[in-house]
Amino acid sequence: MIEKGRIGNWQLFLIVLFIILPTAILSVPGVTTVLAKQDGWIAVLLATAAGTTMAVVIGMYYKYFPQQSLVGVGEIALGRWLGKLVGIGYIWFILHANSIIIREFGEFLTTAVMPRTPLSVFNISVVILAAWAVYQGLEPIGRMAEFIFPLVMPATLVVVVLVFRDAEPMRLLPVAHQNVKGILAGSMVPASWMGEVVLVALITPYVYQQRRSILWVVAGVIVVGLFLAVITMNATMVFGFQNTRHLLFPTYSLARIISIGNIIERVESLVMAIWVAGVFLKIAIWFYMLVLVTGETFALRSYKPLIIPYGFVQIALSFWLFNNFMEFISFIGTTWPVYSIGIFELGIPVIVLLIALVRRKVRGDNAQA
Amino acid sequence: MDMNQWKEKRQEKAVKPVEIAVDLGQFFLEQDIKKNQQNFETIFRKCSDIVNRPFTVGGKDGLDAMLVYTDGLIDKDTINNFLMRSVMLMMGDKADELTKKNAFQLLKDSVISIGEVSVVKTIEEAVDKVLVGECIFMVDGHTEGLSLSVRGWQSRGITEPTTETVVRGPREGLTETLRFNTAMLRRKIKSPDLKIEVKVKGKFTKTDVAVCYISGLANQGVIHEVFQRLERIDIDGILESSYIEELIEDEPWSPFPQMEYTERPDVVAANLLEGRVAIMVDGTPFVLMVPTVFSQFIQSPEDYYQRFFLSSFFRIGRFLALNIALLLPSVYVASTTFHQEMIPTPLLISIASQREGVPFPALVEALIMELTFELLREAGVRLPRAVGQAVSIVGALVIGDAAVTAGIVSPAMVIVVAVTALASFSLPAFNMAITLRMLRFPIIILAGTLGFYGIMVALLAILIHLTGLRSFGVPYLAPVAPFRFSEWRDVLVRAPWWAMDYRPRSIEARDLKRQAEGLMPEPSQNKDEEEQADD
Repeated sequence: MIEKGRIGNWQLFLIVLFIILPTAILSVPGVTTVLAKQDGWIAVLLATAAGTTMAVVIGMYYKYFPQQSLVGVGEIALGRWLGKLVGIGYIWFILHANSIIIREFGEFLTTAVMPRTPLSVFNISVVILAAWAVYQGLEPIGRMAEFIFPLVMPATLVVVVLVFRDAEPMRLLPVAHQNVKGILAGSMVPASWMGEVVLVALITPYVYQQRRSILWVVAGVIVVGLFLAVITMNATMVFGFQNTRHLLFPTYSLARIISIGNIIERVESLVMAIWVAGVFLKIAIWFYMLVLVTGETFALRSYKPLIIPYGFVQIALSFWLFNNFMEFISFIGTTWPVYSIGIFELGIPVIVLLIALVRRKVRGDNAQA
Repeated sequence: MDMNQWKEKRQEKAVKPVEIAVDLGQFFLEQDIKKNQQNFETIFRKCSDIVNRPFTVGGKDGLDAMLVYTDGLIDKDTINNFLMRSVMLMMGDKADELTKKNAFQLLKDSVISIGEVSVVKTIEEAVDKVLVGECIFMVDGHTEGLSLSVRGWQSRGITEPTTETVVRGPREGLTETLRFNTAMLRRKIKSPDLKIEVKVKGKFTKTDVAVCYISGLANQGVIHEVFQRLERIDIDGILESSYIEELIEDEPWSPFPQMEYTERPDVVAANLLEGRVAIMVDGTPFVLMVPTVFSQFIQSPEDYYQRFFLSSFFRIGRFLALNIALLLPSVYVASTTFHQEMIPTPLLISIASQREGVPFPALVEALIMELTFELLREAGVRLPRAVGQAVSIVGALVIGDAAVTAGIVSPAMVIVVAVTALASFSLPAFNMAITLRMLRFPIIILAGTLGFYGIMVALLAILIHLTGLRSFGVPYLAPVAPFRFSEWRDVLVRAPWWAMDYRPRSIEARDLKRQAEGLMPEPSQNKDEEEQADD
């Protein structure tokens, strides 16, 4: 085993949360509203249904193949070499996605919070932190999730609750009025986020009591979906969809308008700081999955030597992938959902799972070990 | 003399040792008492505190005998009354029995009236015994000596612990003498399950290091690990438990203390009862306890002696203090430099007007004040008491008034630094408080360059470090991460005793059950019974 540590189901649940939520909560309300208009929250709920399906697929891996990760199951299903190809595919997918996440993190901080600080400061500092976290291993990452969770969740809830006095429910009307196409299209983006749950199929062997994990994985995605739906609804109610879709970071703008009795005002910097913790963890988990899947695909003894080179590659990619933030937004809104859901989040996991299950059935249950 | 000759001569001089260390291997306990005496004299040459006394055992034909002991480490009265007197003036029929052949056995069994006596067979043993305060007695014609336990030396009495004071709770503190300390512990835990195993460490100091645990409670793996790590130590001397701490801790590069220390026997006892292992070192009142988790550093022994409402209230206060001590100056710097929109407008105006004449940016201002404060604190600790007061007055005037009047710092910054100092002093664990004070400086610098983002980067770095940290196999942040709700009754709040039925799970004690269930007191429901009792 390349990883010595083990995590529990509660930590798995939190990892699912942090794999998806930290960046989703920033961008999803805006991007979804562009297409789904005032029905963004319905689109997010639809996406949650899709995400739950994907979570069930991932949960199946825990249920039927508790001893193998996705790459291992791929080798069972497709044979050694094709299986390795699956691993290589995921190496690319995670490398690509994590570079995008890092870019998003930096872009958010430069555009919204500190416009005069160069992007590289944020990208490089967060990758250094994440690399250090990856160096510590899986167990400490699980503990970080446990520590950061009670910071991120209340902060988000506080934002949701405190802006309620500016909310205008009439802005949600008319509900689903002649806009089914838009809702469906709008749900693609959040669905691509929720499909990121596929990553936890890479750590199957390192979870205690895997046979019950399916519940936690599914619960994680549902919680994320509800959160996103509430935030989207909130943003629509506060700003109206016409404004929300032009906001790059609606959640951040929500935090901006908080004001209580002239004492607590403009807490967006605080929310930003806490959110930084969340995104850091997201990047760290993706980074970890990257080195882990590389190590497993190429049967390395340790993944630690990979951390520094991958760190450099990700920093470089985070700059090279997009020329500017608009390019980024359009990529996320159009290309990314098809590419990620179609191939890595749903396509490969379903095909591999089906073939592996059929092959196991044919060979008999003794092939399980 | 030409250059080369001079060089050679110098080298010769340098190589030639002034005094050769004694090689005990070349000495043996001899039959001839004179020879023995010479040997001891050679070994203890120039050791003015070693007494080497020849005398004659009483009786018909007096036998030559000798005593070796360290002056100051033995109780002279005991030697005079129970050794010299009984041996020199051997009374009654025993005197007639004495011959050269049976002298050793006879004296040992029926003459010397001292409780603890053991036989030494080699000279190494004898020398060791002399140096720890035993008295070696030898008689002519025997190659064995008697080691008499007559230890008795000047020591500090038991006083109130100065570093951990409480309003309510036991007042006795541990001392420098290991035996007194183990006795104090034994008085608290009167059970044969309290094990106190002693290892001798240090080539020259030969310090006793006692490992204490309650067998059946302490985790076997932890005990084993403690002994294994102690086994590795090969050092010339151990003068304080911190030597041990640095040599056996899990992560030597961590700024965070990975072992709790205390000078209170009740704290040691409480920790042993939770399943921890204590390491006592002779010569210091500070006892180490492992495994340690972070939350222990905001707990004070008094928490368990005051009512639980108060304890919980103070503990939450201390938790806030911990955050203030670490973060307040950086939050001030960050919010005045980068995030002014967060500060309510009237306050912002007031701060801005105060800062008007100040020539430095908030970052520099904060660093200056924090450094000044650290200097002041250090000076207060190092100076003699009489001068210390003067320092604090000067410091208070300089920091509190003159610096502001001179326009070097703003009054708001003085308040921030003062509150930070207060917060860091309110932490019960000095080693943790000092770690936080040290970490404050990099965080201030990051806050002054990157604002809240910088603070968050620093905090995340600390978090990454702490989640990877373990103390003897126990995650340092337990029970927060990994999260164990059942243990939260003794983290931020202190649940009443009747609600703490189980020992903390993170320590992995072998027996988790602490007490019987349902101990919550309640007044009798049956009125008749009460009335009957009144009659």
